[in-house]
Amino acid sequence: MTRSGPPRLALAVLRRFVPDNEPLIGDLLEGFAVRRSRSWFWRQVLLAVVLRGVARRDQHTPLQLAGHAAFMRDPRAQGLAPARPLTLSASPHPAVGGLGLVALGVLVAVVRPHAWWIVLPALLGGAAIGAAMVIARRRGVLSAGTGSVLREPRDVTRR
Amino acid sequence: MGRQLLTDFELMILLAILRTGEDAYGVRIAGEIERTGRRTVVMGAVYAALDRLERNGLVSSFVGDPTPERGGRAKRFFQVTPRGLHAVKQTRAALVALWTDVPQLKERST
Repeated sequence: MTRSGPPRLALAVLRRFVPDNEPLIGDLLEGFAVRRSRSWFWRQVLLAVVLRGVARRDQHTPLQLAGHAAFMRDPRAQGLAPARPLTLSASPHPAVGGLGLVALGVLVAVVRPHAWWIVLPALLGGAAIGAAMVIARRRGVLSAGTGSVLREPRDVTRR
Repeated sequence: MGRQLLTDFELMILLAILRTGEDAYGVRIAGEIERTGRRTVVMGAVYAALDRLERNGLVSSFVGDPTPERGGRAKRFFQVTPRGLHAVKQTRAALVALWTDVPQLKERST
């Protein structure tokens, strides 16, 4: 049996990392239908993901909390912040920061197993901060005005 | 209208849109650059440049109807705005001015 369609994994990567550009996905599918080259398709997908990350790098701020600050609710500040989901990673792609932590854990486990304690404080600290944020959110400490700063990021920047 | 010069790739994209006409979407634009500009093109780079040009008001775009050969995905068609056309003319004028009277580039008449 021969596979005639584009590589499924490449398509999944494209949908995951370039989710809001359906015309680009369509163009790549159309290009694959003409060229019939899986290597061409993979190259286009990987470069599209990289270029997407580069394009978003300038808009990216650490923790991406600036656009969710309470002062951005001021009507005069509307439109200053891009509408992006809240992510606590240093990566423009959601969940990649978590994958990086997993990769670091694997690396330490393989290369320097006796240095496991380097990863442990990060895991415990992250879990503690997460738990503290959940508790604070339930008690309304982080809420301001009509909604939480952390709960409704899209409302802050919606025009 | 301020002076706005384009990068070589942006200039190629705008010229490709102008050459393609009403059917200017990603595949056609990239194909035009590859054929006429003799340059290998990455589709993601084309879209990154097009997004930048649209933010700067040099092109406009609209989404067409989904087509089955593209897996049901719609095409995004691009048009050069008057501001984009002005930028192309400015860039051409700057390049021609730079090109002129360069001794190494003068062709022999004999």
